[in-house]
Amino acid sequence: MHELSIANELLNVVNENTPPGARVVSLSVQAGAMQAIDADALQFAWQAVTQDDSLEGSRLEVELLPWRLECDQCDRVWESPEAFEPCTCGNVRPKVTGSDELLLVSLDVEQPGEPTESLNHSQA
Amino acid sequence: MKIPVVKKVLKLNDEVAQMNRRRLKKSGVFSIELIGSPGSGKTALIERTLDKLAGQMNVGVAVGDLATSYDAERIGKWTEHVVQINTGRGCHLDANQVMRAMRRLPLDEMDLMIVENVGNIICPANWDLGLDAKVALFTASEGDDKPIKHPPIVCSADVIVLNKVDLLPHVEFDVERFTNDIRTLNPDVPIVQTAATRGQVCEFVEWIAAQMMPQATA
Repeated sequence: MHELSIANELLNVVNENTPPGARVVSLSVQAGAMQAIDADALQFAWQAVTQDDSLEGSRLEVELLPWRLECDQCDRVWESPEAFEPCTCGNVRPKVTGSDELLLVSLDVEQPGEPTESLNHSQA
Repeated sequence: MKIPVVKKVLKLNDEVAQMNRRRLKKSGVFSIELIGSPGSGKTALIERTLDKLAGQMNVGVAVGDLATSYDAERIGKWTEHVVQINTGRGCHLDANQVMRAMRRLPLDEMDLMIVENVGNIICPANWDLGLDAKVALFTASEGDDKPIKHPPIVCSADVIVLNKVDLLPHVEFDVERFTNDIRTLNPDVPIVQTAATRGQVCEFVEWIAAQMMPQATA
């Protein structure tokens, strides 16, 4: 359940990057496979840490990034949801090369008095 | 209005980790973090390591657990420099907890700091505590498939310890499979074998000593 402590850290980063007076409608997070994040658990944790806060009700979108694999026999590089996947050349042990990012990539915010563009779009 | 941000979510933790790193470097302390499942022998490994290092170097230890100070009491028999961190419900340590523990340790007198994380091989993997090396502990009794099932901890480890090797004749454990799986994830990581409760921790102690040698002799 490291999602709860990650949600707490996320709260700080979101607050730091929200323009004064703006309301956060949604936020988008990218998590590499190496972070071993469960999207549902992170969303649940986000609801918990934003309760009774100005961020309450904000929607968290979590994009889980796959493992990146590299075959040292045929130099093929590809992505996979599995950390262990044989290469098409027959090499059963390609190298795992990354996917450890954990980033807040964007915020969707409303300024007071601004027409709620994003809501209109979603209703169209 | 969509605002692009692209900020590390663990930015604050990483900043505190950098502060820890600088503080430890200033005092010339080599620091390691021990990560392993509950019951994998983290505390036993620390106890036997302290026994072997007695008289050779000054070691400080911080031990993390949800509750109790049992581990600190055990370690306290080997060194007076021990701090218990209780995380309450937290399933891993963070850089801030380690910073607070460091304030209670005489860093300037120490050569080595060992931090025992909460028993867990998932959550601690991606939290930088600001220490020099991550030690991932597996055991013969857990089974040889644990590395393949927990890629993040294997990828982020600087050394892998296979503990309880005295049990190998009694359990189904394929050391070659264990080693090959680790090699796939982390090709160059050293793998050392220990049987902490039998006092066999030489390979681990030698690994620590090698890390602490001046670069010139490496």
